Amino acid sequence: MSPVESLQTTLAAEHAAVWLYGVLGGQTSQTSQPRLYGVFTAAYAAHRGRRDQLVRWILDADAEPVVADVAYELPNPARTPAQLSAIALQVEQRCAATYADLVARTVDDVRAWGVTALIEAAVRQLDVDGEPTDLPGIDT
Amino acid sequence: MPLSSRSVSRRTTLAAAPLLLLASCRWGPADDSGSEREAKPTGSASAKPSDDDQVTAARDAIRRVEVFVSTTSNTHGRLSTPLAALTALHGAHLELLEDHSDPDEPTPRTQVPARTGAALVAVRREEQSLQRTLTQLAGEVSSGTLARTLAAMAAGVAQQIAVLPTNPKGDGA
Repeated sequence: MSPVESLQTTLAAEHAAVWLYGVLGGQTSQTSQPRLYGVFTAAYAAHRGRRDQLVRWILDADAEPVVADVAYELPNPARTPAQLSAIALQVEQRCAATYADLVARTVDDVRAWGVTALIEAAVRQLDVDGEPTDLPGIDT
Repeated sequence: MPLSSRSVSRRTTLAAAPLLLLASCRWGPADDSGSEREAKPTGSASAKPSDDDQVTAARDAIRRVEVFVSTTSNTHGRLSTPLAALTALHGAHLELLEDHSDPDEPTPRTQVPARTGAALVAVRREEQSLQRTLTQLAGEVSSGTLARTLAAMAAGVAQQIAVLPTNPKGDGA
C-alpha cells in the first residue's frame, strides 16, 4: 500500500467517524447527558478537522479523495448511553488502528500527524468506556 | 484500571509475536509500505541514528521511568495500586523491545519526593516526558513497523496518564 493509498484508507475511516458521531450527537441529550454530549461534540469536531486535513494532503498528491458513503451501519440500536458509547468506542478503536497503519506507511509530517491522531484516539477511548491497553491501535 | 503483570504480559506476548519476528531482522526493512524515507538517498545517513540506536534510546527511556515508578511505588505504599498498571505497561513494552539488560546490572539510582502528592506529580511528569520521547522516536525511525510500535507505546502511556489519579486519596501532601 502506497502512502497515498494509506491516506485514502484513513480518510475513509474519518468519513465514517464523522457520520457516526453526527448520529451519536443527534441521539444524545445535551441537558440530561452533558458529559457524553460534550465528548461526542468534541470528537465530531476533531474527526472533521482530520478529515479535512487528509483531503488537502490527497489533493496535494494529485489524487482524488475517496468520498463518504451515504450511510454507515450501526452495530446496535443506538438508544441507551451504553450503546452510544459502544459505538463511539468502536469508532475510536478502528480509527486508532488506521492511524497506526498510517504511521507505518508514511514519513515526516504525515507520520507525526498520524502519531498525534493515534494518541488522541487512544485517550478518547477512555471517555467512552474503553480500557487502557499496552499498544492502542495494534492490540485493539 | 489496574492490570496484573501476568495478564499484561500474556496479552502483550500475543500482540508482540509478529513484532518479535521482525526484531530478529533488527526491525528492518520496515514492511511493504513503500515508505518514502527508505527510498530516499542516504546522503545524510551517517548523521542519523540507526533504528537499533533508536530502539536502545527507547528502551533506556522506558527503563529509567520504570525504575522511577517502581521506586515511587515502593516508597509510597499508598501509590502501589494506582501505579501497578504503569509498572506492568513498562514491563510489557521493554519485553517487546527485547530488553536484554543484565539482571546483575545495578539499578539506576533515582530520587523520589518524600511527600506522596509530590511523588505522584513527579510520576506524571516522568510519564509525560516518556510519551514525548516515544513520540519523537516514532517520527525519526526508518522502519515503518518500528514507528508504529513506538507510536502505539506512546499512546499506551498517554492512556495510563489519563487514568492516573491526580491526588492520592487522603494524602495530606
